[in-house]
Amino acid sequence: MNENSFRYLRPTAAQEACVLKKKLGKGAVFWAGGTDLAPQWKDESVHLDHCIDLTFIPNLVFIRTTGEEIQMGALTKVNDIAESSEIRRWAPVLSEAAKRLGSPEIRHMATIGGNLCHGSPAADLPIPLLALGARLKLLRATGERWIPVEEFFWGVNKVAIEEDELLAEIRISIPPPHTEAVFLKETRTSVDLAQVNAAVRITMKDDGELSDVRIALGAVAPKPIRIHSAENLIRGLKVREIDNALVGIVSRKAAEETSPVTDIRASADYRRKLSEVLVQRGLKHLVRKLGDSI
Amino acid sequence: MTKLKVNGQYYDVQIEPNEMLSDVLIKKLGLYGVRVSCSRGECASCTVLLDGNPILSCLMLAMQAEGKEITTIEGLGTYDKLHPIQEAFVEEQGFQCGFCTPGMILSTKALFERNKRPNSEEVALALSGHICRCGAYPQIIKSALKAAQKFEDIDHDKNKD
Amino acid sequence: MIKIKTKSHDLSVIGKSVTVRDAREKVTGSLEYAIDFSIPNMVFGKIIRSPHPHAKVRNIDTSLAEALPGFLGIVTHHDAPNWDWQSCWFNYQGKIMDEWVRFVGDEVAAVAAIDEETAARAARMVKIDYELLPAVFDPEEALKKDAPQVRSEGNARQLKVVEWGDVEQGFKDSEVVVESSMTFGSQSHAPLGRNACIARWISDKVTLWTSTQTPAECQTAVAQAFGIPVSSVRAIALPSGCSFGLWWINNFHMITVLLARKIRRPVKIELTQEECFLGVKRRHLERSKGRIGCSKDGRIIAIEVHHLIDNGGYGFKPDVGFFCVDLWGRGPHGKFTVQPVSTNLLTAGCMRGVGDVTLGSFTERLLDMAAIKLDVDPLTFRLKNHLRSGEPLRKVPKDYAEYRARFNPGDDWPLPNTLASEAIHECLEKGAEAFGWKERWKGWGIPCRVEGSKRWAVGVGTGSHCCGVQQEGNTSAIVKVHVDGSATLLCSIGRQGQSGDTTQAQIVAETLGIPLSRVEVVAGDSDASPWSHGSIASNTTFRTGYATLVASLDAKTQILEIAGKFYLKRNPDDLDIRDGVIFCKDHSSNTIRLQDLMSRLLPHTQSPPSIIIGRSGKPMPPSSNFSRHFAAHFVEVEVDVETGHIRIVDYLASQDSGTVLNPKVLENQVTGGAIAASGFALVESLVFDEKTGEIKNPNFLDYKVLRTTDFPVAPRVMFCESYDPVGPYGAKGAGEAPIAAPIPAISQAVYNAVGVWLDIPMTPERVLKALGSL
Repeated sequence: MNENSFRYLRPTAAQEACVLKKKLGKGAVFWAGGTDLAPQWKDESVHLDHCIDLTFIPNLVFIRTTGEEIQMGALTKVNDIAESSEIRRWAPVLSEAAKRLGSPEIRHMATIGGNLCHGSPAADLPIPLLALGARLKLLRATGERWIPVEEFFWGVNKVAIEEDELLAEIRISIPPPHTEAVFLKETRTSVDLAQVNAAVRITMKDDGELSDVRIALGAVAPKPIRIHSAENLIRGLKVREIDNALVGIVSRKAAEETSPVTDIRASADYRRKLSEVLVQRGLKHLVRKLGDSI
Repeated sequence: MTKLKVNGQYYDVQIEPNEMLSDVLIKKLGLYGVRVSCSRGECASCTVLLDGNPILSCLMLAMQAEGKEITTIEGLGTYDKLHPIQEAFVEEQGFQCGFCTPGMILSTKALFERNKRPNSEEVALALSGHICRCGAYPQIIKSALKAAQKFEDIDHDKNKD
Repeated sequence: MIKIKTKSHDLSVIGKSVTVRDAREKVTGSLEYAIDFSIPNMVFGKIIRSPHPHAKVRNIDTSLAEALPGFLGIVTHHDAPNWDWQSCWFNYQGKIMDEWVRFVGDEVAAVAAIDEETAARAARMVKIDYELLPAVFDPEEALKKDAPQVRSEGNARQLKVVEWGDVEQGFKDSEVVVESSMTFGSQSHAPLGRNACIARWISDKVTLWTSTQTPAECQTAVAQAFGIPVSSVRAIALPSGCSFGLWWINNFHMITVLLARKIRRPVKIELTQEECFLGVKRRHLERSKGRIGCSKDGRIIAIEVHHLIDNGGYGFKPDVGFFCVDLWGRGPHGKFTVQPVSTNLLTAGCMRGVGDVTLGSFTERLLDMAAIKLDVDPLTFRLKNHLRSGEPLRKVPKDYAEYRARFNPGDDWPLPNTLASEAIHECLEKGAEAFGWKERWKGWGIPCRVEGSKRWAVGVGTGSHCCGVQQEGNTSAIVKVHVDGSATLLCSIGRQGQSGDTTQAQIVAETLGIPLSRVEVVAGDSDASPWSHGSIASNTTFRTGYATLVASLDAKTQILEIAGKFYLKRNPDDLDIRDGVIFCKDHSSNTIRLQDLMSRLLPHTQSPPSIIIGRSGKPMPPSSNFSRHFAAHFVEVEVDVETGHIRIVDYLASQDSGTVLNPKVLENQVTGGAIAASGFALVESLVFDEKTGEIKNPNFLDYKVLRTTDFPVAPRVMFCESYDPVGPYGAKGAGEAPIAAPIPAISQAVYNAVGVWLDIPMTPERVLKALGSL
């Protein structure tokens, strides 16, 4: 049990939260759904002087679609993302990942922002977001900046947020036609952190050329990763050229690029093996789906 | 002092910033039906409903529940007048030791708000956050299905009148 | 012999799924467990645990802790009595605390303070100096002569041997011989419901409240541990969460009692989830090896199994209970040996289905391997070789004949060392039929379906266990009939979800002839409830049930004597009671209501017969000499050969527990066992640090148990009722055969799907390694 106390603050606007964070410095921590932070605090692996509760900021909770983008507030609950008809329509790979995150109760508390900012290499939502090429808005008292999701993850529990910044919004471009994506996750039992999670996304031109291929893997490196070298092996090829042998080569390449560790959920060898299997399954599924659609 | 709305009633409670909702509900409001087991969000025995949604009270700061409608098992039915879901669990014996039972019943209630006639698989998915170490899952699922039937019968009778 | 009417049309509550007694409390969240319990002026304790696997305590510095406002006191080995105490079945033998610590997490001291936060703080401020000692974690290493000695008696216990015939000759006579080995991880009880102990001394008497399966044993063990009369100890058993043998009497109870005595204030020690996992008890680490020899026509000729178990730091078990040796001991030759050994790991002891979950699963594997070589399917092989009623039991205490001669040789006890009843044959046949076994079985190592990377196949396994054992003493019950004709049963059983108080009440109601609503049960107050083992070894229905039956009959006899003599003027043998009314069996003459009889003044004493107390005076025949309960489970699994994941997709469990007292209660026991064993089969295992033996997964995040979505949503359960000649209304034990049958069924199904035999748990990595793809 953690007997230490902290001061509790409740901003009602994003800017106000940033001002507080800047003023209070290192011992001030943003607290959203608490599903990662509360256990850490109980285990005393995180220290707080001040808790800045973000859950009373309505402007950070939204799911909107414009003609070109899906826009999500960082404090949107994972359950709302899982159940959103807009996201299911334009970015179903994100819906799939949200549905597999944690348990029903966790999904009613956890937020998309929290899942990203915790920086766990096994987190579920970074994976489809990497495949979707999302961009993230980081807010500070004096302004804002946007960064691509691929630049957001630095290492285990290390993300690209400055001391005085708040992750405020996540945007995904509406995909071009002939784009399919899939999310896969392997676990020990049905409710668990990922042994390995993966997302594969392919965009195909009218003539069948694979114009864009994205492969993202989680729980196999210090951070969620894209495997560009594997993607490049089939980018530019025609969908009908992608046979099982080529899928095998791509998935083995993806597995080679991972640097997994052994932990309570899986050994490094098994993670490498699963990486190969999941990428293979993802590619086969998409190639078949896209091939049928020509 | 903070105002918490629990089971339809308002309470003025002295809440420490570091207190989880479960601490306050159990120790300050005497609601022992909120069962704390793993205390890390893994087992869901501490489940309460927050504005109708099932959440883990061991992971939520009590301060975060201000202004919300909190429902614990005590708010569902009473010993003398059980809620239909509780009746169904009694009839189907959807429990063994009873430790996970309040959480299971509350999540079942939340399920019915979204889906009045779930099938077994949908019930299983909705309750997948809850650990029952006794292994009463089949009986729990039967209880939830029986409860759904009870609600359908109630609706049917209402429509008849 | 007690002859009881058993035809179902004669029974009013036996055999019915009556609502269990605490159902309303459970669904309203108002059932009070030990963690909910408090008494006035109670203070709080916190246990300090060793960070080392093996060390001598050199110095304990409490100065910082003592300066903390609210600190009330501390107990260390200096305060503990200087002799060993012993838990039931040797699950703990040692001092409450002594100069040594024997596993990471071992209790070394405990502090008390006015509130929990202060107690936790104080615990961290106590500075302990240790002299580190070499430690041993592997059971085979611990057997070696130069291994670090975990305890003063040495690491190894005496080899337990169960043998008959001449195995060497048996193997020579066999036409088919197969050999194998198998290892089992250490399963954790992984309790959802945490526990606590509250202890209060008033002058020289101590009362303790805790969640436990063994109320009476709490009383006698505390008396032994503190060297005080049993009459000076009152143990009040509260309902517990799922226990599986964890919450008996444990050392943390003793520490609570010790602390309360030292500071002379009532103390509550509440265990965190983590402490429940790493500080109390677990299933042994177990390893089997052995061989089986058969004739060409598929009969077992000889079985030999050697089984190693670790006792951890404080376990002292001489044996695991294994009754597979009976079920498969029909052949002329057999030798089963069990070697227990201590290690510097968490204390290991009984967990539900002890011995049969592990040694039994290995024995079943030998059967399967022999069947493969003989080209016989597993169902046929089992039908041919299982033990039948009237045949010899192998695992029996040797003193039965002498015991019987001493008591009442004319009494109608079952034949010694002979199985009195079984329906395992029916369980296998009817279970197979309901499961569609004939259509789904395709042959050894042949899946019934293949699609992409997935293989589906079926398997069958059996399990058995005792119906209580008599070695630790007899079981008693008292039935008190009140002035209004209602009754209270006083017995010592657990309330860990098996609804034993309900089924016992059913026995009273049926026997005494009163409505179930007029029966109350006091299940665990040692001031009132007579001694019994408690709810362990599947003995509640059988042994406590027998005592309850005898006590009810005794009360009934007293009542009918009074009714016959004073009111109905008939011979008591002509009378009976039903629905609380005493009547003549030939339906002639008057009747009298029990409540009237109980409240009227008797002519000869001018007082009401308010002291009808039924006693269980008649001793029960020693149950482990004739009674076993059985399970046959059928399963279909799906194995993904690319990921190695195994899923259970269909399940049918058949059970022989004799007469079924309450079908819904038994169904819960069966599915509960099936799910717990399936978890062990697929994923459950404590992970010990290589260097320190520390448990690395003492929580539900890292130690996975199955969820609703990990098991078929609607497994089928069927009962095949044999009739036990002694058990109440023919009923037998229930809880442990259903946790013993799943692992053999699942591992056989996996073999049929992908052609490999695996150790337990059958993790995906093990699957892939066995298939050669990792």
